[in-house]
Amino acid sequence: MEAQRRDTGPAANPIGAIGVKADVTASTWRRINRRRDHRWAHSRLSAYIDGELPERQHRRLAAHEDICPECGELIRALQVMLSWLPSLRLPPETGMAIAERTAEQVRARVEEWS
Amino acid sequence: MRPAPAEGEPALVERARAGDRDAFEELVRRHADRLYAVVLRFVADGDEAQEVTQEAFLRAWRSIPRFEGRSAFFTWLYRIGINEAKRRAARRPPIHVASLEDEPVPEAPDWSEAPETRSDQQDLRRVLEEAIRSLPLEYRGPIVLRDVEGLSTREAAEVMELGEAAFKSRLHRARLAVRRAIDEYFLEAEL
Repeated sequence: MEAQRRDTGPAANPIGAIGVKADVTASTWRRINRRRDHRWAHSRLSAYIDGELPERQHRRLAAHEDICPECGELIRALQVMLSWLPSLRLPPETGMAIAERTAEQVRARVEEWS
Repeated sequence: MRPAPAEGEPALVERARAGDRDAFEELVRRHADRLYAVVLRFVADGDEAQEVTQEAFLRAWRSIPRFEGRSAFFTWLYRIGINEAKRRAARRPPIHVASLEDEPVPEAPDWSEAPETRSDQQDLRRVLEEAIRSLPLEYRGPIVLRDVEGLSTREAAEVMELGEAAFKSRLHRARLAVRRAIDEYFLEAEL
């Protein structure tokens, strides 16, 4: 339909018109596949970052990362964020004090029961 | 009989199951800090976290004769602790519940460089803590267990009593929500 509206319409160049239509179709399919790939990739980003995807899926997502700036940016942001989160752990000296206090409290209660 | 320092956990658990209080006390010493750290993300403050941690160990002591070892001891223990913490947290209205939208914050700056000063680092830590605390309860556990405390996906999913696929889905949503909170913080800092 698109080809028929052009100045070089199908009547003038039927083989060329089929070629134009095929190009439009191919680029539309590429767009659809990229969107589908993007949705597929988005739901697996965490598993990808954690190295927990099967090999084939990992390769597919890596290929998508190469061509999708949005996913690439999100992957980098999540990787940086994940490098910060372990800093929220309790410092070891606080942990030791809590372990000692808890052991004393639990011992006292268990002894009351026996 | 006091356990030897290097005594393996399965042996300690067996002795505790048989009523050996010293063995159980050693289990408390080995796990209390990490259980406290996890529980702290669900309750109001350190005092309540200490109460919940103690309560979790007391429940474990009462139930340990029935512990069959189908999961690791700490998995079972964390489950007791988190369930108790969530029960208490559910009784309290949430201060603010984070959006679980997937979309990034528009115009958010690039914050991928490490924070430069100590005060920046403290600010960032505060933002991360608040972001995690504002997650709905069922999303908080995955990110705390996996990304803060460093459990494997399998271990963390077991603690949460979720299949790995369901666990990963919640983990991903939680990560995106915390990322949004960081975006908003850096965007505000720029204004």
